[in-house]
Amino acid sequence: MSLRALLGQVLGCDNAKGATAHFWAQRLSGIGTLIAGLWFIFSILGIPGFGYADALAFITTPLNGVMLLLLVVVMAYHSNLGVQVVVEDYVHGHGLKLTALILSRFAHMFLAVAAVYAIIKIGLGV
Amino acid sequence: MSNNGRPLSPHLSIYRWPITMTTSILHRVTGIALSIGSIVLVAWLFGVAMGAESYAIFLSYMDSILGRVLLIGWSFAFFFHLSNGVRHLVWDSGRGFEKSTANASAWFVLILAVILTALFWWIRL
Repeated sequence: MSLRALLGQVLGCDNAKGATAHFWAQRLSGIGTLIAGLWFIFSILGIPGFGYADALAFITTPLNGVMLLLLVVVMAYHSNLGVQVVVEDYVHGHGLKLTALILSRFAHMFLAVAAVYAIIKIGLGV
Repeated sequence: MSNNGRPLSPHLSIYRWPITMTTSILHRVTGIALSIGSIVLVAWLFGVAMGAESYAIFLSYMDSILGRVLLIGWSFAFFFHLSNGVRHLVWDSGRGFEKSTANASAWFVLILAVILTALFWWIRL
């Protein structure tokens, strides 16, 4: 296996099998984002306000913390898959496309980890 | 190639933009908008994590005119991408590809997204 094929596999754009896996991952993470997203919408409709105390009380409630963690992880994953397709379609030139794909993946990783860190930090109250 | 005076396709002067094209493009546009919007969700969590003073700065940005316009835009993007995403899932099952059905479902998700956005802000405000 050449290094290039490996990189393609890592980025999920290697061959037809990779495409099928991408298709399924996009649908499943879409359903996950739908469920967690609807939970979030209903939740923020229910909280009294967006002041610091209200936000803190909301996030520190254990079940809310778990749902928020699920939301940011599944959403970042779904977003990563979606942006990947858009980059593959509209960014031309091998080098530029690869760079954009890698940057997008790093950015999504950063966003997910930052969100997880924040939620856990608030939840543990430190 | 004999033409017999028939119009070439797409014949731009009589071409009617199909509504399904609008929803198709909007699905991508709202998807990218939501990807950017997820930064705000993380900023909200980070603002709370960093304490009351940082959170106040976050709130002041979101409470500005630009912040409010963006939030309304993102809420529409969310409801549209969600509704049209379900439409895509129905298509994945092999249903709803009839031209009249696809046109009707395109209008349905567009109107539904507007109604849900309005309903959300009406309840929230």
